[in-house]
Amino acid sequence: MEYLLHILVMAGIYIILTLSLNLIVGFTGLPALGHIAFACVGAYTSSLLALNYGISPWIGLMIGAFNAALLGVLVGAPSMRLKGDYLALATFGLGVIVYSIAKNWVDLTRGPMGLPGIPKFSVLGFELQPVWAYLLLVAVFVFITAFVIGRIVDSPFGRVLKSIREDELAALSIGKNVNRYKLIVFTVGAFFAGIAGSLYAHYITFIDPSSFTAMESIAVLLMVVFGGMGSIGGSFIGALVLVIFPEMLRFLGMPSSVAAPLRQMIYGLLLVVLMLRRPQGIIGRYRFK
Amino acid sequence: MEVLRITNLSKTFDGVRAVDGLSFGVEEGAITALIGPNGSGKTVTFNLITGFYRPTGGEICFKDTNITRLAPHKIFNLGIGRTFQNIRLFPQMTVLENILLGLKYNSGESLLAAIFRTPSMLREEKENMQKAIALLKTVGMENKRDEMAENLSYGQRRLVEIARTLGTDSEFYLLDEPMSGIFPNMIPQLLSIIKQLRSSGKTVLFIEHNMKVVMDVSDRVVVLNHGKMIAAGTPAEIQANEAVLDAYMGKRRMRAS
Repeated sequence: MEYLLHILVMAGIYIILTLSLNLIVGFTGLPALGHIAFACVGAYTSSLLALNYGISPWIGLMIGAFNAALLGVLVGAPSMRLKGDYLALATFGLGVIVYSIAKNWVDLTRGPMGLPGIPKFSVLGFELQPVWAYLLLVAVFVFITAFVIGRIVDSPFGRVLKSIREDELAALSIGKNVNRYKLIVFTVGAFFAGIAGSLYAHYITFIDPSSFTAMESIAVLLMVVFGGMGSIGGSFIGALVLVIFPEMLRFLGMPSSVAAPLRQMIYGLLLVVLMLRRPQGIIGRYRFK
Repeated sequence: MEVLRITNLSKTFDGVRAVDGLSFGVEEGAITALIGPNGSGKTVTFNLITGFYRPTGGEICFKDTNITRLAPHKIFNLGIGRTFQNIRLFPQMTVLENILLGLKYNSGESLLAAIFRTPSMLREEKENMQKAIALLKTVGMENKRDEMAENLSYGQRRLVEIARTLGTDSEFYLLDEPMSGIFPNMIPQLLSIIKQLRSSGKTVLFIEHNMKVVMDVSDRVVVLNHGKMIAAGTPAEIQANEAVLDAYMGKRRMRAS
């Protein structure tokens, strides 16, 4: 039971990541490959604040999210000049840079040794120790994220985002300040990814750079694509399926030396099949051009 | 009065002079046709005016503002709307959404209005919905409002693009071959739309190959060839202009009979 709840907590954190990346990739059409970097900043910020200064995770989470949003502005800036593959490469590079900083700035982050003993959230003096309590907390944040991003995309503002995805030049020709919208989208996306990172850190109570590798960014992107680009419901499905499904493989009773690579292979195969049969994702409507 | 003044404008692409020392003005409240053989620089001129290309040299002034190096969305916000020769709709969005995007939003297109669903945003959205439907009616596309733009035929897409541009309520419209691909019985309707723009005080500059349309609707014609203006005047003057005939037909030969 505990284990099941644990998986749901992880799925919830990934839903937040997937929703926030979907805003950038699926709704606005900006290929971003460094999403986990924002989570990394959020996680390290609130962990370090809690460990070094005893700051409550609640405040740490907010500061972490703001820090991540700040990084989002930094990533958003090149997105004004770079398009398509080039933007994908630039954001990928940024993910690598943030990872390297986390790994090599040993004085601050303790590098590969990681940060142990990160405190959990507490509500009214009670630490959210049981997994079900943490699941409730994550659920609240999933709800907030889905609500806010849902409203953003279902509005005149969101319509402009989609128009940028569809044809940037046409959007410019009817007076949309495309660069401004891109910057906002990266900032908002990074903000929520920062929340996810912080939630992760205070749940696992240990973080090290290996949780924030480029592979993680790609995994989140897969969840976006799998569930459906430009679909809120799709982000739920993508994250849930791709978090829960690999866990099920655990019960096949294979030695872990086989199970781990097999999991990767099935992941890959799933995606190839999906792209061939249903390129818009499980419930998405938007296709790659 | 001139609403647009182009002075000595030039644009070079890898040594090819697409627009070469071009100068002309556009009269306010008039319909001006921009004509010329293929490759004479008409569409490049449009892209230069609207900021999609950066000129190699020269100057473009809209009213009293020098817009030569402004970004496209800023030029639009000064009151210059345009359509594209190769039609630029938002393919995976509905016809209605395409039109709504062209309409003016004061508060609605901001992030906070979206998150908090402000009453002013909702009101604006409601009003714009009515406007959008009215616009679709003027081009006879109201029954396609929920269709994805990508599923429309070429001519229908052009009509939607024109409707989107009309909705921008600009002062100055640049229409790049608005009649091409349009079903013939729709052309009189489009012509009357363009004339209506003039009667409501708007300025229109349009590129057109159909001479009958050009002669019928325009007050003034500007003729380009090899990136230069070779003639300008009333349709009647242009029809009789030697240089124009040469550009279109080659040097005139004696008739056989």
